[in-house]
Amino acid sequence: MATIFVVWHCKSNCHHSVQWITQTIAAVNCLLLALLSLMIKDNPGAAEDLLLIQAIRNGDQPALGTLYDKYAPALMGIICRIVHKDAIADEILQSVFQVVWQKAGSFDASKQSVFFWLISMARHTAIDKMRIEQLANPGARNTIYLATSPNSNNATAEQQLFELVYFNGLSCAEAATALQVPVEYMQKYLRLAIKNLAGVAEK
Amino acid sequence: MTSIQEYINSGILEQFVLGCTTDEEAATIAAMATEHAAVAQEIVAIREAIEAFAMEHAVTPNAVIKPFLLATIDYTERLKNGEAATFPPLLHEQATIKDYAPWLNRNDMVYTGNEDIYARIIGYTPEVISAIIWINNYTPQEVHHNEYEKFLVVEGSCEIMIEDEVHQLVPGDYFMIPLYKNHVVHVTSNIACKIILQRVAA
Repeated sequence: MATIFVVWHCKSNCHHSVQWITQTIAAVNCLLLALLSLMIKDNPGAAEDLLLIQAIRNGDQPALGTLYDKYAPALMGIICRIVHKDAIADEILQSVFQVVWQKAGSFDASKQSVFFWLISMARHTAIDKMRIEQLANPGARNTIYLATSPNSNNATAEQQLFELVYFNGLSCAEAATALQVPVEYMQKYLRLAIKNLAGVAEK
Repeated sequence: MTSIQEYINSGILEQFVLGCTTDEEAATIAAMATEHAAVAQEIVAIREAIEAFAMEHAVTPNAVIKPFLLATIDYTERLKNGEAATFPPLLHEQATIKDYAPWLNRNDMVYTGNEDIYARIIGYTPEVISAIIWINNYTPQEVHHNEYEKFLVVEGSCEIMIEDEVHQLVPGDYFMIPLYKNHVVHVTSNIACKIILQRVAA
């Protein structure tokens, strides 16, 4: 509860500050308040991430290296599942962190965690790249759909739906059509799939 | 409260987190999250499940990505801060260490950290990237498909293994890695092996 209160409070604070001081100072305020809220919530990992983003904003290059060490493997896991060529995956990973360097100033801690921001960037960059490859090579399209999961043969319909959306960038409706899942079940399936992810991760 | 729980159970929040909702739906969900703590908490929980899934399926990236990423950022910042772009000569069979003295003698081109691989870019064009590299132990296996990698050893020594051939290199030695060949560099000196490296578009 405390977290949510502080986060929203911080958002309105941002809004006021913009009128008085500069946008940068407002952003820093926002970040500090979010940081404080995370410390209250006892989430040192996420609090450390915000400190790293703050340092990156100030031009601290080793801080980017620290953020890289912490999250590059997780992002590479996602990127490799989307694009299947090592050289392209390497390029995408590098470009994600270059964007972090350029855009750390516009990161909004009231909207999402640093890690989720990185995950979204990695996914979108990789999916865009994959689409360009598919346009250049339309024959590969169907193969890519089916080759997504190493165990797609015994994956449940929920998992397959999640993977088509998460790794192939299909809209939920497109994924449902591809798997012949009735549209009215689509959202439930997605919820179930994500619940199962958590189960897998906790084991 | 029941209707909020039904809303959460519907799966719309999962769609929202995956970026699969329309702008209109997203705006409604944002408003719901402001109004109902349970909705906001559920969004955080869904994101955390995806974060945990990503950690669970981590893949170690090639060890040369990080030094090149940091070197690229360092170089961009140096240019932004007024450093003039320079164009070190292309490496070739007869190249000597002296040809690169203007870059090697710069006070800021030093390796002070303890990274396994450290790189500083000294020249960039879309066709050629020139860098000074320090390697402490070894580089991971690599294969280049669209660029030639050329080396000139400046300090220390190393051996380059290209498939089953081994090449011993000492200061002043030049070497070019052929395309499509798996190669690894092992440092054989007590000090880091310092080299001039160029990646040239094939």
